[in-house]
Amino acid sequence: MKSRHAFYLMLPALCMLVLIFVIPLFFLVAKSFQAYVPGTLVSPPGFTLENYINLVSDPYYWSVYLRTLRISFVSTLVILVLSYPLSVFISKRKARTRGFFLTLVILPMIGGAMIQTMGWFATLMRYGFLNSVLLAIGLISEPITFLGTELGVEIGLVQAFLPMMVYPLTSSLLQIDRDVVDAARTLGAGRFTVFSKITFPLTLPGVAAGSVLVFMACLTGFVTPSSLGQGKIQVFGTYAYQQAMQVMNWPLSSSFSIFFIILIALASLIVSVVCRKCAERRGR
Amino acid sequence: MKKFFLVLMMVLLALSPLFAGGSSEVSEEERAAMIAKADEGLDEETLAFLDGKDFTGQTLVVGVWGGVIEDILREYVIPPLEARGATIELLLGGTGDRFSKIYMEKDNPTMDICYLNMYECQMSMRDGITEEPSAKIPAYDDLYPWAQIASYGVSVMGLGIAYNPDYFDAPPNWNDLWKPEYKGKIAFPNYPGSEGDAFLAIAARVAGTDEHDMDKGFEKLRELCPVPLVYTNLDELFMLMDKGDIVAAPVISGYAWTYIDRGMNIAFSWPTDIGCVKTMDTMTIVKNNKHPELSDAWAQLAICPRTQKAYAERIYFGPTNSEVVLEGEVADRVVYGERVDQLVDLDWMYIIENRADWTHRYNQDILEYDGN
Repeated sequence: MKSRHAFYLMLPALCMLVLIFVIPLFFLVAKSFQAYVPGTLVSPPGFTLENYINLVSDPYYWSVYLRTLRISFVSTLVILVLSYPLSVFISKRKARTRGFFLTLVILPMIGGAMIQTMGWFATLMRYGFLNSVLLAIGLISEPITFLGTELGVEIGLVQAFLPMMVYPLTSSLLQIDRDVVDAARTLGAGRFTVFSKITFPLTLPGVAAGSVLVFMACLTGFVTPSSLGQGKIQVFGTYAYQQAMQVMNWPLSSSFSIFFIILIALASLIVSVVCRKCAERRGR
Repeated sequence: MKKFFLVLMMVLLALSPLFAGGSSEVSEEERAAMIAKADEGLDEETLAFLDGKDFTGQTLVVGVWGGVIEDILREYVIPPLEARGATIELLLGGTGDRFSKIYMEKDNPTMDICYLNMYECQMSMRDGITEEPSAKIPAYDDLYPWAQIASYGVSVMGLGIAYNPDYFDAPPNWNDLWKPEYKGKIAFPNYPGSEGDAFLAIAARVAGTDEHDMDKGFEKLRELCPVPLVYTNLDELFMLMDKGDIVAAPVISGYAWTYIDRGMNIAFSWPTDIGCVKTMDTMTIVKNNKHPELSDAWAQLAICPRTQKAYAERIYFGPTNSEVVLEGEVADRVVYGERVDQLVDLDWMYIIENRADWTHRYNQDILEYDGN
């Protein structure tokens, strides 16, 4: 009886998932096996594996996959390093102040990705805010080119997805029993030992959850790499868009998307398994 | 008593649309005055075409670019139709989105009018998605012949060269961009797209051939690499050009003038060695659309002289209607008069058919090439 209730409660979400994800995915799979005829958007009837063969055999696609993975990995790592001290700071505040800081962290997300990216576009331009400041204080003598580089894209991604790491990390930090930390301190453990042997291992589930979330978001990001990469940095999202909306090669774009969904699933599985193993080992 | 008031309130609420409808009903005189105001400045042909038309209850869905183009449509095309009872819904965005939409909705279109680039309309007409343009729209006969192909051309531009005058003794020609001192200092347009395809074709012509031999085009374009900037934002492009980081870029005529008027150190050249490549914004009527008569009225208003003049005066986009008369600075800044015949036409169908391969090649051979 209980499980039936649970099923009814799940039904609206399930319907929505089927309607806006499963059915379009089915069309996407079907399209990915169709042939592309140059000069028309109408595919002839029939079945072909050509798109998939291209995606595996052409080294250019592998350079796109690897670039996407590299940018996502670097961004996730930087986000983790930046988020940790921030989360520690927030978790040590009183409940009300904590809420205030958490709201501050998530506030940029409310404006949407486009507004944030436009802000970064203006900031990172050759004669934008960042270069002007760096030039003014004499740190650089020539403006740095951020836009159209992997660094520019990574800066945008780090800012955009930082909240996705801060929330699970803060939550993990708040769950740590103060007594455990106090006990370690009483037994003579220094600050670093407490952090490396107690705090960090106990927050590994938060690190894992945050990392998977951020990594997935970076992998599938489109607005940030598209604007800050200026068409020069092709990653999964920008390439799929270029093929679907500019070249109008829907079969290739579909197969590229399906292929990448499989890669993402594998990548996130590996990340979560690694994180879980680390957590288990630390927990022992 | 409470119940009575509750019922009364509900009845009043239910009837409120009727009262509202009654109060917003316009009298014949008011309607005539609205039409007269909206029609001010329209030519005789358009007035005769719209005469007596009543579009009450009809909603026209138009897919078009936003920004100043939207402003022009809201000021010159929409009012005469709204005065005649129509409701206009604009779907703003890039062509990719609406082009996909009209294909996906092939059997049951929700969009009536779709603005496209000149190469997309040829494809959609051939695939039976959009109507073939015809003389059922009176202004069709006034369009230049090249603006009657596969769509109603609404504005014509030429791909020329925006440049920083400090780096050139005279307005540059296409060949000048390949001088060794400019290597790595020429900004590229996005590819694929009107400007990107046209620049590739220009490179082929500089190499002594044309778009039908693109091996030479790619080879020539690589000589300009590394690409310092793929411009997607004109503010950024012209700021870098003003500072001299970029010395020149292939830019559509019309885009540069706003920045020149702001006092930036840039100029625009109409190259004469190969010529400016013709690019055109077009308007198509979606096949099997729900409001054929209203769609035709939109088409007429979109290409009539009043609207076309506004394009020229506001954004320096040239008229496709041969009846439009321009004078002074505006005439000098747009594709108009003698310039119309000097534009270079590309084989767009050939380009479209090869775009997938060329994009793949462009991504690897141009964007990822460091110039060494």
